[in-house]
Amino acid sequence: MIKAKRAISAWALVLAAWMAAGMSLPTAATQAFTARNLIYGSTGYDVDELQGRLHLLGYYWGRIDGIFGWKTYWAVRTFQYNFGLPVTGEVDMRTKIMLVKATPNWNSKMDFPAGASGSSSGNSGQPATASDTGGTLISGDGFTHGMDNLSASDLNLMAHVVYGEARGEPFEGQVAVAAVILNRLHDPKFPKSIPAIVYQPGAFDCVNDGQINLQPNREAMQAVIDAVNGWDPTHGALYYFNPAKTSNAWMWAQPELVTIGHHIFTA
Amino acid sequence: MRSWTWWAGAAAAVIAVGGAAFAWGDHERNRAQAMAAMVDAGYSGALRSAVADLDSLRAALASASMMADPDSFRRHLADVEKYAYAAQLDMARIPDGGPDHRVNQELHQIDLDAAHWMVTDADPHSASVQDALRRAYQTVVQLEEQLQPIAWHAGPVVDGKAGTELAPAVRNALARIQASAAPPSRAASRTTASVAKNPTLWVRRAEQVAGQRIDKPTVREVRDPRNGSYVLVTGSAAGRPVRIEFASTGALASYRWARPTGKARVDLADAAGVASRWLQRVGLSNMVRTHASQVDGIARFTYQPVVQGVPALDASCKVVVALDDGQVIGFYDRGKWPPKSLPPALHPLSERDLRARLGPQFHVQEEQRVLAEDPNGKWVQAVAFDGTFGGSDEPYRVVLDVTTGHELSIERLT
Repeated sequence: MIKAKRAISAWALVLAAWMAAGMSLPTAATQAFTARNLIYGSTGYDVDELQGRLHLLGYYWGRIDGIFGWKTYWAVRTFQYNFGLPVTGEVDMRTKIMLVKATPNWNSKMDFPAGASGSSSGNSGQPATASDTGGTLISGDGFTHGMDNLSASDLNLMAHVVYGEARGEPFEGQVAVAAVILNRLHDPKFPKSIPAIVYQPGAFDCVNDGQINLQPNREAMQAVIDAVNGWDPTHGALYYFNPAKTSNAWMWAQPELVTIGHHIFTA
Repeated sequence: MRSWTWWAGAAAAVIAVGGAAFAWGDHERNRAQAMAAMVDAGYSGALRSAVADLDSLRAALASASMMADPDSFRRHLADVEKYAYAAQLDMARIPDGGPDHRVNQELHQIDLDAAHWMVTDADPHSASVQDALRRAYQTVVQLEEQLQPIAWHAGPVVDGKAGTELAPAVRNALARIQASAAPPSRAASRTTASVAKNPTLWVRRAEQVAGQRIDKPTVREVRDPRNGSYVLVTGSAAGRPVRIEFASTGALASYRWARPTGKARVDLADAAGVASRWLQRVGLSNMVRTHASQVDGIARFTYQPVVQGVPALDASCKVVVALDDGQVIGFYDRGKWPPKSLPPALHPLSERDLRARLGPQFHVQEEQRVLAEDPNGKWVQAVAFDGTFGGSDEPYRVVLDVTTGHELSIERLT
């Protein structure tokens, strides 16, 4: 009888161990990379996994945030170099296979040291799709994050100026005002930051009359995005003025680049 | 008796209300005058400070012109930079005296030149440096002479006039200075739009860029006083507005197809492939992708032209791809292109020499030979060091001139 009980216990243990293994194995399998290639700028679960595996190998030391930034790029390059792969900084299937082979013990629940804790979408254990990447730039009253070396605060300030200066103008004219701010940012004659340019004394009428404090609409924000993307309908203008309101001889003397709506844009 | 009391009470009330109103009005008037006087005191103070700074700048320029000893020359250049900057700040405090004003623009140029000579260790004997110093000196003398009469007649104390009358006087005087340097007639350089000679050709070219038919196309030639002219093609593609610009040479300058984007279905890497192939299709084949981002279902890629295998850092164009179907919906060129061959670098510094110019807190991850613009806008060969800074490990890029070792730019990488 005792022997029978022992045999049953032993079988139960074996069964439990098998079930435990069975439950963990499929989990590991679903945590493998998806088929998509990863490049600088990619986001999502795949990047989480990439960062986690590179961290396990000691190549990546930043936050595991699911964003393929510079640190991830350099870690990938170092990994590729050390493992005899073409050093591209891009994660193709060959790099992924090598990475998976090099980190057989990795799983998404691994407890990383402080400063490298798991985060973002990766913890759901679901493979990424393109739709869950990238996030939203505008939410509620303003920009949620920056783009192209400009912070969310810079973009919001630009949207306030565009709305204060050019609401009611055609969309192209609103982009043009945002483009003038960016052109000033790249011109040595002007200050080196968006707030310094906007608040430079006398630079924008909307600062003087307080219209800069009006809440910009979605169109003004979209105009800022388009200007940051590179659209410059003014072809490099640094100034603009409304001919109906300006008698400044110097402004009138500047070579006109283009007229959009009620504004003349000058070099 | 009752009637008398009634009238006396009414009169007292009128006197009380009237007196109170008068006192309040007088108080407000005094306050407004005090405010106006304060504002004018601010204007005249700024103007007088500007004149004083111009005077010091004049002396610093003269000293820099007269000293050939490198140490003295550098010291005087530092003074030039300091006083030019201070005068700009003073001018910016005056109505209409901001960055658009001629005085500030002249001062800014002097400031820039001095900074550049200091950075590049300019030779005080150099003819070009001496010539620029001489011109700067003449400019400063002229500006000082023009500003001085305004500065010493602007203050309310000097003229004894009410403050509110003085701000327009300052404004008018500054406008006169502004106009005194106005370039010749604007009419000559005004934009005149005319229809391009062969509109069909441009429409066909635009359709090639858009990869689809453009309905109701209009072609317009826009004259740009700096870069000749460009051709603007507008219309609609698949019912959505499209706008394409070409340089007069035929090169694509910008493309924008304004259409809504749906749910993202294309990966960033695939979109990058689309962007590269599209660039090749429109004739921009020798480009390298240097930056990528995705947000709101749109991918944005930055490309830089490559000259003999070396990417040009300060020239770039952007390609925008919709991630719903992988179509290119935007292209924007900054209009700045590097030379077709590498500028000479006769005695380039070694990698070790260049690295020695980096601070101990900067940890280099990657370095590459690049083309970049120096402070004068001249293309030079350079080395870009990408790495992390200090304990925060923030990524930065430092670009050094390969010939002189001078710092060309420091940029935080995002």
